[in-house]
Amino acid sequence: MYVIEAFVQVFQPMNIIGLVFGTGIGILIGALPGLSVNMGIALLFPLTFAYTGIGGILMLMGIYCGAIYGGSISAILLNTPGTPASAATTLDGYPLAIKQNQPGRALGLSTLGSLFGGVFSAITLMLISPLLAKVALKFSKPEFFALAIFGISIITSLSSGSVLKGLMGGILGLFLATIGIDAMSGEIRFTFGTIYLMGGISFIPILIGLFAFSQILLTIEESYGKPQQKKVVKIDRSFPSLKDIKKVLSTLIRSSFIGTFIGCVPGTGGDIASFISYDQAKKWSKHKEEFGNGALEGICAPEAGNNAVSGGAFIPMLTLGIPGDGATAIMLGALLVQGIQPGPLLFKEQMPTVYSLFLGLLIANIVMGIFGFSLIRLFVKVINVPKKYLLPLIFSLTFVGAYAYNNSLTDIFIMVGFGILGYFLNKFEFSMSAIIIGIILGKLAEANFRGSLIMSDGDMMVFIQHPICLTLLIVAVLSLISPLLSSAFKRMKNREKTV
Amino acid sequence: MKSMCWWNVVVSAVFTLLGISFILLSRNFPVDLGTGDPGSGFWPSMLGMILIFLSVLLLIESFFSRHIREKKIDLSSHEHKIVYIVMGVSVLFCISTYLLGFIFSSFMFTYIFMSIYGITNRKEKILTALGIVVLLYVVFTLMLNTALPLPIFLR
Repeated sequence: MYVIEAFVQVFQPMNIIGLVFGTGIGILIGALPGLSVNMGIALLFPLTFAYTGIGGILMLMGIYCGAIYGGSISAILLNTPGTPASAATTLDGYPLAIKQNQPGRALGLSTLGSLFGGVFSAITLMLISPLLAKVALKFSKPEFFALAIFGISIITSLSSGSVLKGLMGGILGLFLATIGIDAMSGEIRFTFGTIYLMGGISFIPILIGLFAFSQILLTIEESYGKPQQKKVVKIDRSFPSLKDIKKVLSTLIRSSFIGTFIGCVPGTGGDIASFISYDQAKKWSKHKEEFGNGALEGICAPEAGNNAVSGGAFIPMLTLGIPGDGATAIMLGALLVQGIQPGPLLFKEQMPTVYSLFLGLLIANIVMGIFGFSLIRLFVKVINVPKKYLLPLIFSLTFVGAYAYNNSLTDIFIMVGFGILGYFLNKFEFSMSAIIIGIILGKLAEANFRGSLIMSDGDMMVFIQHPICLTLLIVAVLSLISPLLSSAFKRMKNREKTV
Repeated sequence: MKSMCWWNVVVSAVFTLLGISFILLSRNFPVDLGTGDPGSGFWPSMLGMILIFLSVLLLIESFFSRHIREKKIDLSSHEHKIVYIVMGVSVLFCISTYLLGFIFSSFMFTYIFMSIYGITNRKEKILTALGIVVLLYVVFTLMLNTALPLPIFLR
């Protein structure tokens, strides 16, 4: 019954148009070096306001899947990954496409890998999520607090530059979440007497500022005064031969498993999945010498791995309300904006919506594959779009996007302010995702922390007495300190080597 | 060009001040209600304390890590100056949007941005600015029915 309702929801003409459009735009964004998946989702987020219900989310899913795949186009043709998740694809994609002069074969294999990985992970999401949600339904306030802390703890893994700065950004986000009316006492906090801040600081202008506006400023810095080289590529064919498919089938299955599993672990992402998949493909290969020179498995493995992350990352996001990476943190915000609260209750109260999301992800991956095989010649052209036209367009989009949600001019000022702040924070190696995760999970953490203490009459032992809560808190602590420990181990090893 | 260590000292100082502000601002709210509820001031003041603690840790790490001491950050090259000009123009764009509306401001912003970016062909700049404004108007106002900011005298 739910499945039929979901089909009806998803297959409404406007929703399908949004999903197809989102996937196409996602591929274009991914293919353009300098534009990340997160930036694409943040930038096009405002377009979803035209939709009510699930339509806007389907469009964002399309952008998400399309952008991960799109990164492989520039990775293969320019040796420049469009997104960090496609960095591993350059290792064999570029040699096959340019050195061996087979760009169509390389792009076809990357499309096949992305399609297989994406569909595999969407099916896994459908099978595993309801089971995990059933367990999560038993959660009470202490468990939800521990869950929020676990979600916040992934900041350390997302902060590639500095763990401490990641945590500081997270705390900043948590504080921003306290602005407005306190959910527990009804008191108005930190609004400085302005009506604008009464409902809390608006999430969307901050998101667009941190992910899109600051990125454009960084792109200006990198591209200013540098001539853009034009690349002419002739695509002979775009669908892999049966022989090629047979050769890479086992790699596709293995990499999809790896990608889905890594996606499930909050704080990881497509870049880690693609490198591990690549590494495993090389280890299992009978002809390791081909790797680095255009090995077919070397293209399929990272692409299947990074696209499989999409479904995997949706598992903790939908069932527990914990984002798996920066992109799913933005998706989580989008769901909240549309009035959909991810978490175990979603599986109890809004099953048609859950099935629509499952179906949406599956269709987004299939549309991505169809686009990849049929329109690759068109997408290849995007790598030559001059930045002098692209940058002002993106700038204007950030202004419209910040304004569109609340029709508030103050939001434009906030977006520019956070964009400028984001530019400097990026320079000082802060993580933008950490701030966003802090804002998203801040209210959940505070309300459940205080709710738990009311439940136990102020006894802190409540967080230890609940086994699931304790387990989650231990995992959170381990997640917090593991990057610190691993860097300490690395330093020790380096010292031993030098001695 | 200054070292990352130097910038980390600045960052630590700024975030310490932020942490102190969190605590001072939270003083207006109860920290303990005596009913088990820690009160609306507890959480933000706790965040302030953690932020100060992390800032101190960052300061210590910066002085002890060779990697941080050796790393340089340049914020004064010609490219950076261009970015700062774009930042200033963006703030002006916000004010202009408030006074003159989106359409005119966006046109002017695109034109000025392209000039700053090094495009000298005036015809190219006008056509691009016009194209972007028309595209956004068609997509947002006509297709998605989203209002764009109007000039102050039309509001």
